[in-house]
Amino acid sequence: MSARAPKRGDVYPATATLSAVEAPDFSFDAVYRAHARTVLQWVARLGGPHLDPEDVTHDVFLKVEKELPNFRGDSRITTWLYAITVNQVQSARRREKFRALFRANSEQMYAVPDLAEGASETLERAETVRRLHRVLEGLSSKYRQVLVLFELEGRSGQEVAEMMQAPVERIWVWLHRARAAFSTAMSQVEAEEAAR
Amino acid sequence: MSAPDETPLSPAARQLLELGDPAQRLRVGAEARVERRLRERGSKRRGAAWQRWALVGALVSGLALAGVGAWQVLAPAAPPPQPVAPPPVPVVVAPSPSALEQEAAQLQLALAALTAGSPEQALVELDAYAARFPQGVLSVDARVARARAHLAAKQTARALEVFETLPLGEMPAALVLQWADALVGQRRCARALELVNGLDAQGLTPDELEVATRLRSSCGGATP
Repeated sequence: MSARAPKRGDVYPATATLSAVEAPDFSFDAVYRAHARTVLQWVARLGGPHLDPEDVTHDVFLKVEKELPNFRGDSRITTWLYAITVNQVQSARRREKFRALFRANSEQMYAVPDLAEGASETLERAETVRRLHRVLEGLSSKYRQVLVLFELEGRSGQEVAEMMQAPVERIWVWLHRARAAFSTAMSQVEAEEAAR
Repeated sequence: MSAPDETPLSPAARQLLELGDPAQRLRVGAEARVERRLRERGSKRRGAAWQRWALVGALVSGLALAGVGAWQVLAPAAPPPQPVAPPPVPVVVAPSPSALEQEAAQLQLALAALTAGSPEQALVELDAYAARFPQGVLSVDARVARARAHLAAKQTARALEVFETLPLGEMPAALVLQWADALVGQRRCARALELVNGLDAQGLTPDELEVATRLRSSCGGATP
């Protein structure tokens, strides 16, 4: 039997459970519990090496707290949260660029100490993260996002299209170009490191 | 819709993406810390709302008192109310952007020398910075750079003197660990352990946690 669209006046069967018909919980606490980790990960991946993911996530959820009463469920909550996160990350990156004028070389100053023996693994791992940041920083925001959502988070093209609010065909084009740009940037970073 | 057939990422690129994923290095307890900050802010906001209402109340009662005062002034036997001097308003003079730019430029010279592997030159530039900007806005950053320059120049004792002048509560964990590492090098384990144990373990990155553990174990056999 094929399901038909519900009509006005339909009565829910007595056997229908409450959970089947109740609205999803969009209270702030519920949204925070369900999505805080995801937002932290987005910020860490898209924010670059100079942003503190916790600071930016804090700002994201301040915005969420303010805007949540206006969320009508027209889109998925993840899509809505992602749009807020990207905006906050971009603002934070702009602020950070300005600050960098006055607090130059902070990464160098506050880097994890280079300890002698036994630290090689730790440093190697830190170096890989730094290298990835350098490669991602060489890409446009659009390409960085498509790579993170598709390649790192394993989301489908349709999901990425919803989150980035673009047609799926365009996402494939961006993904193709982002992969090429990533490979080029990676080669450049490796060449620069080898030349040092 | 499935992805069109195209060249995927090379294995090296995929490996870099997966091993270098910054999300894997989020600090332990990050969600709880952000939640705590949000709650603290919420209670502050409620506090601010309470203060606003208290202010409204004070204004209303002030107006009422002023009314009573006016009535007393008009009354023939009443003494005139004594004017109350307003409390002095602290004046904060912000440095002009050009002064900050000059300060940052001087500090940048020192940092560039440090990055280029010339700690002695960095110290010369930092001396110039201290002479030009004795009360500089970036003076803490300059002292951090000085400590690092002394370390790089193998002047550990002098570096430790500078570290002691830095505001410990505001220092990032990585810097505290570097300080502790220098102390361990000088066999000053008691102070090193004090610093390491004073760090909030929940706020450390996995790398920092590893360094802290290593420093603790280095001090395990040493006499504090």
